[in-house]
Amino acid sequence: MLGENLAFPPTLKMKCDSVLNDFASSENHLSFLSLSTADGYSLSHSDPAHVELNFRRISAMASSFAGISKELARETHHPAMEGSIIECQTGFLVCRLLKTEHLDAVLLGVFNNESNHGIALWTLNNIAKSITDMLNVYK
Amino acid sequence: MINGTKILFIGPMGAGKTTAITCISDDPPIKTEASNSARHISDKQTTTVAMDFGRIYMDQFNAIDLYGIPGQEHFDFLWPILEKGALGAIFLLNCDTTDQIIQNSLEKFCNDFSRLRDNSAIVIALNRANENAVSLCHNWLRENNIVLPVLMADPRNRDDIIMTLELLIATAEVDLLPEGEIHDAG
Repeated sequence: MLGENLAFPPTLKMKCDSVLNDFASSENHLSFLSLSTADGYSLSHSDPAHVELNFRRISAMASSFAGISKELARETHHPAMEGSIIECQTGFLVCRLLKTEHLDAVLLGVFNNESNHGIALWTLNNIAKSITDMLNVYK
Repeated sequence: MINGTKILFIGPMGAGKTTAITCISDDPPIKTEASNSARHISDKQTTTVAMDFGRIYMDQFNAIDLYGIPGQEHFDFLWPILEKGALGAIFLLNCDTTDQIIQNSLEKFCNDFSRLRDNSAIVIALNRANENAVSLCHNWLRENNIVLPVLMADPRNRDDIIMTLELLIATAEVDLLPEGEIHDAG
């Protein structure tokens, strides 16, 4: 819930919404994007077509998944975890941790079966860079 | 193979669940911490986002597995998953807050862990509490016809948490015994 996250101003949310929607609408293999704080509050998301989603739950689940992935990586001596992937018969879910000056965040990209590992990771890295740059310059 | 008895640590963010598990675990605990963006709720740097896990070894074959839930409500999808197979729960509550927040927390966690509540398998451990907070808790339980042990405990104090754990196991195990065996045990 954005209302619970006092550190994220509405104008920044609008900018993030716009960037996420632009990417989601321009990439046919991308179903939707969700941006949340590292502790599970929804910050922004693209508007998925033809499906209703509960972004409060998705944001919490994405941050839990990122938290478990990070701990699993650390436990197996790979401390600097950057992201994690869930593979499904119908596509991929890719999580990326974003570390910015003011905020730690989790970006989730959900890709359909027109995608593959390489394209999905490359696309999400580009989106992550755009969002990180935007969050870093925002005062 | 080690036979583990599963104990949960429940309660809202900032109650001291991660601290308590870290304090008593024989192994370095597994923690899933992330930056806390809700500093207006609890002014700490990090918060649990999935679970904590620690273990106390009883002997070569038996252990107590300690699971901590993430306390914020948006993580409540994880609570029933973590509750599965648990013998009982230590319900930690930071009383350095308003009476209303304490009562809301009691209601939330007693309802969401109703299986354990109905089996008397929860011990309420009040952190930073005074006698007023203890009375408030007892009164709330009485008004809601719930019978659970209440004590004061500091999650940083190993003796406090071990005593709470022993009380929980004793209470939960007595509840699991058939009626005849309770009299025999007594």
